Amino acid sequence: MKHNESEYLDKLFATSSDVTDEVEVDIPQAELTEGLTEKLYGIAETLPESAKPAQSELIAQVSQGAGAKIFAFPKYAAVAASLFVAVMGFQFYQQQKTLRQLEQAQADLATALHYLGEANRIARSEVLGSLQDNMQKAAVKPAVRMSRDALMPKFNDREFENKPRNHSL
Amino acid sequence: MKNMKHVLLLTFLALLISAPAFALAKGQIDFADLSSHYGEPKVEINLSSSLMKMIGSFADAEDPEVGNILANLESIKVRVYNLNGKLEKANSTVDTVSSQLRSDNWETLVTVNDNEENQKVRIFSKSTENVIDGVVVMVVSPEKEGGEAVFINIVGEIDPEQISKVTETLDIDIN
Repeated sequence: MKHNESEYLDKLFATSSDVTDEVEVDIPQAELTEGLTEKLYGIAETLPESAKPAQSELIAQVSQGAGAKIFAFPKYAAVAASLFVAVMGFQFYQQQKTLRQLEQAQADLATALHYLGEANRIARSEVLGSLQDNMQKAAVKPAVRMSRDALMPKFNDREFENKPRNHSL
Repeated sequence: MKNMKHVLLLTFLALLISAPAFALAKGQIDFADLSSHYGEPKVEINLSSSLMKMIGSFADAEDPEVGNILANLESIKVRVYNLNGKLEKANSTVDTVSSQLRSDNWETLVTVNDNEENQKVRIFSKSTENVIDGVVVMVVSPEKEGGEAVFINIVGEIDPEQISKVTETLDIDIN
């Protein structure tokens, strides 16, 4: 039994060392510089041509994977742009509507104030006319009274002088 | 009987709730009846407080005083009716509205009666604690063809002397 075990272990180690050798054969030994980037580029450069992926394969991989989002960006951009234009257009429309409302309101206010001014003008002219009439009356009446009072004695005298003549008739 | 009480109570509550909807703001009068006399008005203007504030904000840039005057106004209503020669009817309406306003404690500012020309002007104002809440102007004038009746109701703080200031700023030609 022990013999069998030792045989098995020898066989196992022998095959594992073979595998290690095979791997060492596939990966080329390269003298790499110290920087990490340089080391990585160095590995890529030392790979055989058959092991390197083709340019077309790379493009296919990019278009199918994360890069697909980058290639789909124009679609999103177009949607975003159209949305932006729509929002801007709506804002412009709203502004124009508000401006029109404002212009209409200003015109209405102008009309209202025009009629208010008309009412004010009529009232003022009527009040001034009435005041002038009253002032004229107030000035003319005393003048008439004064002249009448002044003329009255003479009139009475004449009436007295005429009386005897009538009597004689 | 119990149902009747419920109906009356509900009716009273409904009236109580709906009353503010029919109530007019301070200094505001209802022009609704006038259309029944003269038909559709020649000029109908309803400027709400939001519109007044909007005009005020634009005028504020030019003249803050005018902006302030307009911002203090709550509403302006104007109705102008063609009388088609029926001045007597308009004059009687002015008298009726005037008596209503007087009974509602409106103060008479101007009264003009020109019987020769069949012309009437009435200006009323309503104020609380020395602040004018509203102004009503009514004019019946035969100057225009067929005669014209003008009814104006301005609600808000207004000084008649300030009107000229507003017209100057807004570049309004009164004549």
